[in-house]
Amino acid sequence: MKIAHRLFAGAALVLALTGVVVGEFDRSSAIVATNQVDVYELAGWIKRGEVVLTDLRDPVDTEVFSLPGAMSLPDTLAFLEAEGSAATVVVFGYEDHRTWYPLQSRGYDVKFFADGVEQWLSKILNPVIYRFAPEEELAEFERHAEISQYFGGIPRYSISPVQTMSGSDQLARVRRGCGF
Amino acid sequence: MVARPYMSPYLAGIGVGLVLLLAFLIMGRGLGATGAYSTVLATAVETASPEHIVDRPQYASYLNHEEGSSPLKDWLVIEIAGVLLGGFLSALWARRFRIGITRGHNITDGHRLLMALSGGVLMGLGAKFARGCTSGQGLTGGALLSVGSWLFILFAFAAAYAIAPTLKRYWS
Amino acid sequence: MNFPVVDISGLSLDTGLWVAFALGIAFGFFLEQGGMGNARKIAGQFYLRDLAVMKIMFSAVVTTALGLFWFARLGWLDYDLIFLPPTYIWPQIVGGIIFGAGFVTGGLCPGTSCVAVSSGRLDGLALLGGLFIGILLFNELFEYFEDFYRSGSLGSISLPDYLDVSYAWALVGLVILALTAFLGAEALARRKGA
Repeated sequence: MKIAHRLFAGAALVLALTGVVVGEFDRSSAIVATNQVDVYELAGWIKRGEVVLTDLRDPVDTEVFSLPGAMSLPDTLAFLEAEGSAATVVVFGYEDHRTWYPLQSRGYDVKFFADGVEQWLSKILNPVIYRFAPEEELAEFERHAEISQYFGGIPRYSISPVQTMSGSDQLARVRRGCGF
Repeated sequence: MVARPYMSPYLAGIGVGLVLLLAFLIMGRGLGATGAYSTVLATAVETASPEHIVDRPQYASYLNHEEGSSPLKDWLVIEIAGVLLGGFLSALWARRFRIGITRGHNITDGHRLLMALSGGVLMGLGAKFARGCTSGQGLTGGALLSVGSWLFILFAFAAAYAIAPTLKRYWS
Repeated sequence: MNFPVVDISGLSLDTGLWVAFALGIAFGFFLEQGGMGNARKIAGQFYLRDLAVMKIMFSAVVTTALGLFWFARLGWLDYDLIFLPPTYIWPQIVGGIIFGAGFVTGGLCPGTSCVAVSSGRLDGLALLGGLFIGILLFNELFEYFEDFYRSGSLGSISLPDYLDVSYAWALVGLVILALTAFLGAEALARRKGA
């Protein structure tokens, strides 16, 4: 077997085995999935001004409705540079796009808020619970009522066990100009 | 004029592998071939008979008229055009370019051309079912360790080996 | 994290097409250099006479697979953004069998037929014509096997995920498989030579 062949074979084996030794790479989808923030925790941070919030959606959508204090990506980057801040950045409205990379590559701590707008609308601004739901659920609902009201939300009790309106339906209403 | 010897297949393979890697790194996708032919065919069919495309997603999915441009302005079609040029440049440089027919000694040119045509028909069918050929599934899907791609290659080679004995005279 | 360029930094449509052209040229060049424009050489694979096809394909797959792993591991490539062709078990098995039959009959494949044509081979042209006929047949008869065509869907899934092994170990397996095939090929060539 020629020297060149031995070299290539050896290189391939070394590269593969070293791969086993150093371990797998983190899949970005896994990173997003394991770094999600809870909506109520986020609401608390926003209330206390402890978080930088970035809306990654198109301006067409962000103008209609967004979360309180949310900035666009360019504004967020400018803000963070000016403040020299070590704050946690929570991004939402990303879907499948890696639009947050400019934040990560600058070393900021990025957390993710999947379906951000829908969660905010359905859990903070328009929370609804079945009047005869189990005790623990009702108690939890009560606990969150305060933060809801802080942001202008109206907790409601429904006489039907079926959830009335999903977050995306609520957003559609907002787009059509109906209040909530 | 004597042709140059072929490059070592290992070296040629590494070359192909690096090109494929570049495709992934730049475009996020691998190389292919069959898709280009589907696009060319769909464009031809649409030109000949636009009504035929209606309600036929097997054609329509290859016809992208975005930005008002021709569906032939397609990544795979342009890639195949490159393959044609690259193969030509290589053949020219290696002094291997020659109009002719590659065939076994025991058959006629006509027979060979008929077999080539038949082989093409079968491969066209097979590649459509499998969503790719040796380039799209074998190389691209293979490098990604995709289950379906490896199944495809396994069964393709198995079938080829199984049928080869019946064609022995034709190839020798 | 810079790759894939098209998703991270962005790439205009036209630039992407120039990339396609350049990559195609390199692809065609290496294929022809490896003798893949020669139908008899390719067919030799199936008579264990000339194993260039296997050597080229395995070398390419190993090179790319290792490259992808290391670019991802070094944090340069977002592997999740790579398009993984979806798996449809039944049509891919049946398609494979039909394709293999055509492969040994024609001696060229869709990609290498272009290389053959570029070398002046008229059999490459005939095969190319056959490919168009085959695709046309498929399209025209599509309604009869549309259900079969969509059967056996597993989505985009890789062997390590399916077998529940780590990607790195799967690569070790791939390299060992390739090297074993290469050793076998060399041993076969030596025996035939003697």
